[in-house]
Amino acid sequence: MEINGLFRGSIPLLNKAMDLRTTRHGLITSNIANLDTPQYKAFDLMVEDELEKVAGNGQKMNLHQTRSGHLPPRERRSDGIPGLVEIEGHPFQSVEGNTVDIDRTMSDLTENSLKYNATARILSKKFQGMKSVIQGGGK
Amino acid sequence: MDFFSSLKISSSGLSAQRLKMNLISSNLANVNTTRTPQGGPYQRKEVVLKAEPVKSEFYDALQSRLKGRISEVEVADINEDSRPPVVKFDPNHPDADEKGYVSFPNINVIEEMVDMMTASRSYEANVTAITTAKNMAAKALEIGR
Repeated sequence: MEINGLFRGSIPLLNKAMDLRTTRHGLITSNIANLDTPQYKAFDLMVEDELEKVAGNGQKMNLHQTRSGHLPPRERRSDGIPGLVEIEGHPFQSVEGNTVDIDRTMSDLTENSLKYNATARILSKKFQGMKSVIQGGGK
Repeated sequence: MDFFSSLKISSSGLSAQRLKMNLISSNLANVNTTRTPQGGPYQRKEVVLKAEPVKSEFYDALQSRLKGRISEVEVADINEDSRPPVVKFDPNHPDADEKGYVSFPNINVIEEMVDMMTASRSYEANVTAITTAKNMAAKALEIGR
């Protein structure tokens, strides 16, 4: 087995997960900073959807179009950017067109950070396991 | 996107809220001020906030699809409120006009207090975001230890 095989498998996926979580953290931070900015539109990143694409290696089920008249699968994301969604503001809650919901944003922040920390720990444990094997186990 | 941009965004939020807080303090302190360098009574001031997309060429090249979505907050302007002053009859006041009326700033203390609480909460939210970013970065540094 080539040495690079050690770092295949779930490690790239975990890397991608941490990367996406960092990006999402940026988006959430931006939403928090612009809490009082008039006309600011809040955005969120669907990390799980993005990860599914990486994890599935393109094995995701797709609708087959056997005839030219068949409707293609619908793109449900805003302006064609996968995973990036615009948060819809509550009609009564929005101040001057701002769509940031502080309660939702703060819980998203906590959720995202917990999941990031969990991913970091899993990755850390993977490397610890490798180290343990290299050093000959429980010596 | 890296943690340093997140920290930069949060700190822009902190400074915007702090400036807002300073203006509120100024409004509250000058609730009865009848003289200003420009003449006339004190005018209520408020911040005008603006979302400014984070600029980073490296980052834009990497993730062009997020371009312009992640924004800092910027104080675009400090707006002087144009509501008319409150006029009171007080002939003994040195700033009274010939009819004995004095113009006082039109500042609603309750409104200022509510704004102050909002600014304070927003500030706290930004502090939480910074703490979270710090903890996440610390966890990332623990990988492989």
